Amino acid sequence: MKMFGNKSIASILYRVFLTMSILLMLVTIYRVTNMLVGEDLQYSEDGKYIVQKFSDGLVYTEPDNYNELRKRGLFNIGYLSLYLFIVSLIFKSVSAESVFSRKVITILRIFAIVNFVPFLYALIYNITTWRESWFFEDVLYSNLAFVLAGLSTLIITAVFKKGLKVQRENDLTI
Amino acid sequence: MSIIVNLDVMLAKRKMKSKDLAEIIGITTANLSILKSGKAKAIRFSTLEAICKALDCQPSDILEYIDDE
Repeated sequence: MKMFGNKSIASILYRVFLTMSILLMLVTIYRVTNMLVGEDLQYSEDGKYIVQKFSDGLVYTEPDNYNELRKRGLFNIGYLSLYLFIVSLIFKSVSAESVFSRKVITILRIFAIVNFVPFLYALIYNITTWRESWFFEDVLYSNLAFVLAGLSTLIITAVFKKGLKVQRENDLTI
Repeated sequence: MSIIVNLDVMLAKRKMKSKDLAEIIGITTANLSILKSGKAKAIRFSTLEAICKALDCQPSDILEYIDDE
């Protein structure tokens, strides 16, 4: 089975990632609705912990700021939904007959920016809540995969730009 | 661009239509139009050979270099 073009692996992956992103979007909407009616957090049986409904299953020990907990949870799941949606768009655009196109380059650029968002978010958050030795632990290590994915995407974008240029020249070679 | 394609001139000299030339050399009229208008980035030797054969001319009759500066 071919990787790009019609009826390719890319077109299957497009559907898979799109479905996942839609499901996550529905979860996000569910959580926002629960948050608005104030039923997103509930106490554990012993009353010592707060559990966020429909979350990743973690139990938080008495957070001093519930809103911060809500924001983080929503950001994570909303971000993941957006991330998967953009991944699905990349696969959709490479499912076309011509792999090298302006559309792919634009989506790859957006994907690169989206990959830097967690790093920038963590950076800004940790600067505003300043404490010692936060950078390597909270900002760099936890977001290293995203930063590397972002940098890799920038390189791939440059390759696609070159590919588009070569393809255009080839199309205009008579 | 400093390379000028004089295909129109040769077609007029040979009293041949673009459509007929495209058919003889086996390219589309759209591609021949790109070539005639000077929008082409490059020309294959095989295409040039086919054009020269069809129009009974030399490559220099079709392509001309003009210094822009």
